[in-house]
Amino acid sequence: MPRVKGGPRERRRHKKVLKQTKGHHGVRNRLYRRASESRLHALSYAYAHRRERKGDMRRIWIQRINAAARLNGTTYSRLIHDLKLAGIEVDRKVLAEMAVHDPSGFASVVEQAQSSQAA
Amino acid sequence: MSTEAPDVYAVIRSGGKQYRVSPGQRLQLERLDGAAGDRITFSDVLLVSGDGEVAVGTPTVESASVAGEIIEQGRGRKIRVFKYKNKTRYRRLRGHRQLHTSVLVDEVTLGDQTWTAPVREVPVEPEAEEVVEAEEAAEAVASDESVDEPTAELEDDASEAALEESADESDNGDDAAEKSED
Repeated sequence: MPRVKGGPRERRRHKKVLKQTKGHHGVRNRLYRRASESRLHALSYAYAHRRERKGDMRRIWIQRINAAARLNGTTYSRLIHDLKLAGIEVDRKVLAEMAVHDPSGFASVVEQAQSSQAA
Repeated sequence: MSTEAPDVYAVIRSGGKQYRVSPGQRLQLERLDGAAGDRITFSDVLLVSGDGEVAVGTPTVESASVAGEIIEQGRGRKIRVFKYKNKTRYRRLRGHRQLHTSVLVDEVTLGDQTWTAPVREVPVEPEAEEVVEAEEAAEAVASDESVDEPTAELEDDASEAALEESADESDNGDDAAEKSED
C-alpha cells in the first residue's frame, strides 16, 4: 500500500511543535521528530518543577530565617519551637521577608516567642 | 540590609497564604467573593508593625484589621498542565488560569489606631478613564510618598509574583528577586 503523506495538515502540526521548541538546544529546535520529543520533556519538566518550586522557596526561607535567628542569638530550630509554643503562626515566607526587610521587627518576633516560653 | 521596611505593615492570612501588606499597596490574592469596587475587611491579622512597635498575634491580633477595596477579579497567565505516562500512551494537555482577586489595601487598624493610605490623586475624568490608569496614578503617588526607596516596593512585588504558583513569568521574577536581595 502506498504511503500517504499528511499534506498541509502535517505542515501545520509540525510548525506548531517547532514554534514551541524555539530556543531548544541544537537540532531540537529544527527537526520535527527531535523537537517533538523535546517538547514532551519540556512540558513534563515544567509541571514537575512548578511543584518543586514550593520546596525550593521554603528552603530559601529557612536559610534566611536561620541566618537572622543566629544574629539574634538563637537558631532556626529553637526559634520555630518557641514560635509554636508561643502560638505565633506567622509563616516562613513572611518571617524570611521580615528578616531581610525589617530586621528589628524580626528581632521583636524572636523576643516575643522566647518571652512567652520563659513565663 | 539596605532596604527598609515600610513604616506600617500587617501580616494577613487569606487563601491559605500569608501576605505582608501596607496601606496603599496592591495585592493579588486567591479569588475571594465580591465584585470590583466592593469593600473588603481582613480580620485574620497575625502581626502588625507600626511606628516601631510590633504587635505579634498568638495567633492573631484581636484588635487589628486590614481593609481594602477590590480592584479586579482576574485570571492569571495561562499555564499548560501536561501529564504524561510513558509506555501507556497516556497524555493530557490542559490549560489553566488561576483565578485571583486584586485588592488595594488602604487601611490598617490596630486597637483605636488607624493608618490609612496616602491620599490618592483623583483622576480628572473618572468616568472615561480606564480603571487601570487610576491605579497606576495611585501607585505612583503611593511609592513617592509612603516609601523612601521605591526599589523596596518593586522587590516585594517581584517576590510575591514568584510565590504565585500559577504565574508563568514567576521564574524570572523569582531569580531577579533572589539576586537583588542577596
